Amino acid sequence: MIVCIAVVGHQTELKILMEKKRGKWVFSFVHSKVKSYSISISGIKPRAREKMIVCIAVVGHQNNPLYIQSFTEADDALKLHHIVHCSLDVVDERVNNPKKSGPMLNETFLGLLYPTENYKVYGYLTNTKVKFILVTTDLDVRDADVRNFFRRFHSAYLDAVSNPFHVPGKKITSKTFAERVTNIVKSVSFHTTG
Amino acid sequence: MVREVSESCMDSLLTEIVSSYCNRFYVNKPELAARRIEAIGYQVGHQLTERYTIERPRFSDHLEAIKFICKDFWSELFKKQIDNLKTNHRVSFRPQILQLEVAIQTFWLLQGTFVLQDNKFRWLSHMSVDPSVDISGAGQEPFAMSENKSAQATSMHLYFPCGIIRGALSTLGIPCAVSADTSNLPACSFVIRIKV
Repeated sequence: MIVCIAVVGHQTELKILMEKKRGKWVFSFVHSKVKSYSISISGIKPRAREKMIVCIAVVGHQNNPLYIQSFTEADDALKLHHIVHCSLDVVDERVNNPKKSGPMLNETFLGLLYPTENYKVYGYLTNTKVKFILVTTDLDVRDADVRNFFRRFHSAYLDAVSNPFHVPGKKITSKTFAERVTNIVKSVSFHTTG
Repeated sequence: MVREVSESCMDSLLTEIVSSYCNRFYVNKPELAARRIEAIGYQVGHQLTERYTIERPRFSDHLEAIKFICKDFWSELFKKQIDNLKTNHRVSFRPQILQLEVAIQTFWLLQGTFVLQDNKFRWLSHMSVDPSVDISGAGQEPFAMSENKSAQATSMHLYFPCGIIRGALSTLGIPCAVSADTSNLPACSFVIRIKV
């Protein structure tokens, strides 16, 4: 596994050093002490990527966000918001061409495959036009798992909405809902890395 | 896990809602009281629809949604289905349907009016309306007045179910206006006007 690449100018003037720190490539400029390429290769096998649910979002029927929760500290919330937002367009497209896809039940489909970071985005549309968006980093995920997840998530959502103190159309602020979602996510993740 | 509530509790709650809003909160403003009661019904309808549509496939058009209200939704709430559904949607039986006719039919459906008739509306079944009460004055008038009063009393009790229906349809994506009509009493008709 490559951990470092350095580039040296022909008069040893401009150097770029790339190191892999904590799983990410870091660029830095180096003084003229480095005189040649230096590449380190370590003998460690790359770790298999675990299925990790990165983020789950609930979006109302006017595309207003009702709930968004991310489960990883590496990526920032803004990027996840952007991913969810883009996937809403895909959902609208699928819904507005029903003649082609036939009358389908709450669809579980592959939304967009985010090009650089290899996310997978799943969508689920309820009868009341509320959309659930699930962002996950996984290379092979079973359809049944995602459906199962959405079903449990739907019933947690239902209980949160039946709360008389919840105003329909506003964000869900219930801590119980957040806990239940975290539990569902944990139980799904553990299951597939077994 | 299904929790159950006794029916007499429901009846008492509904009677008390109407009584509080009309006699205590908005004493001389029956329209405001009616609107508040209808708003409560709207939220309840919204939440109930979320719950009762969880396993169902999505509805392809308005008629499907109305049929859902008439059958499943009504059964969950009142343990019976709507007895009669009428609509002003014209149906053509000719084998060839011209383009224009399809357009006209669609137009009518969009502006559709549906009438849901329940022949023994559960929440009104325990209400007695006695036209001979409160006879003050002489002649024909007291009958008309007391009939009016009884109609007004029962109509107050119908704002809540109207709100429920409106909330249910709006949650399914169909904005509408719902009103109720109680000309012959244990039967009750709900008129749904779908907004374009």
